[in-house]
Amino acid sequence: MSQTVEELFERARSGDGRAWSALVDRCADGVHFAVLSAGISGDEADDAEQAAWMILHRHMDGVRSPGAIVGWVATTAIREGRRARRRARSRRDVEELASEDRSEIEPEQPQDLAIRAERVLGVRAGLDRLGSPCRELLLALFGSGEEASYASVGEQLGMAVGSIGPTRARCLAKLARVLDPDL
Amino acid sequence: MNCPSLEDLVALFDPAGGAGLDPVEGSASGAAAAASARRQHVDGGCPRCDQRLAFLSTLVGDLRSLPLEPASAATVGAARALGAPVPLGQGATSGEGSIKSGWRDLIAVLMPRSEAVPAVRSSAASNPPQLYRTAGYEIDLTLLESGALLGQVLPEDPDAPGLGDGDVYLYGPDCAQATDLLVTGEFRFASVAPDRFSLVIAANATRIVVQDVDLQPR
Repeated sequence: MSQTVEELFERARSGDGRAWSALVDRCADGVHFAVLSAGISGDEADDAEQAAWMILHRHMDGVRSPGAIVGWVATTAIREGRRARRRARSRRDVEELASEDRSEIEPEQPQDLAIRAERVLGVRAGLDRLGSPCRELLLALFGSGEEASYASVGEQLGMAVGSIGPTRARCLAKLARVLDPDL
Repeated sequence: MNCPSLEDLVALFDPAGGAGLDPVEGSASGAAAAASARRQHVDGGCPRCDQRLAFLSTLVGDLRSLPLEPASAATVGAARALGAPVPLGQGATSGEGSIKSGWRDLIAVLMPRSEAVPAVRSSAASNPPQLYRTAGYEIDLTLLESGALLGQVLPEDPDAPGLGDGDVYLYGPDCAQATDLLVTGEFRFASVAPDRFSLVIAANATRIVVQDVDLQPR
């Protein structure tokens, strides 16, 4: 059975380099998702995420909630990215700043983005545990970001269009129970 | 009435699944009556059904966020390299599998000012340049009056290749900054408050760690 993020972190904290690599592999995409959701992309995102991983590496002994490490790194990365952006912004024209959309000044809280990233990672892990045919159906329906039409999914999976709706409902319910057995 | 099953809740909450198909209505009077009863139960404010519906709604939203763009290979590689073991004999105190030092960490030592080591660059600086030397590299740091920190890392052997481009990190007691390392070996932090820092230069598989960088005014 694969180890939890918490277990990997504790092993990494006590000096296991392989556990550290596994921790990075497990969490990097979730961190990236949160950073993208914060409106930071491209090189800015890379710089922010790399800085955040470096900061975590330096401050591992001070982390109190190892199970929330994705949130910790994501929050740090978003703050680093926004800090870099403010530094770049401070060099721009005052007029340009005055005409800027002020809504950018009140972005979504890093913690909320990190929580959403953890949840999406959890959904992805839940899909891996679902097995066929639900995994394939839900990925075909949702894998491109917008829900695909039943016609295209039926063609892709060789399913009758009329059966997709009920199967979708069963698979969503099954996934929900995988994620929360108490539902 | 007992709470509907999760499958029935999905049908109630999102019958067409956003795919443009209309739910079948009236195909069987018994099925329609059962669906109506379930709807009345849920609309009656059943707390358990409300909680399950909220979970399903969030789940569908998260599924729509699923195409996770993966973190860049550079980010993952740099992060993983932090935990790689250090070959013994390079000044690290840890052995195989340790994450206290990274692969090819080179720990720089501040050269005493009495040594006749020329600065790599000179500029309008409020502080004299500081020169660090480690295992074949020289790191020159200058803190300007504006608060900008200029740096350059070059091989001691003028014929040896430079590090190439990468990243430079500055860690203070309460802050961390990152900036680009150019192929010329130069880097610049726009604003650094005078303090003591650790500096990490990361390029390809090499990391240079300069501890106790003292940028206090002199």
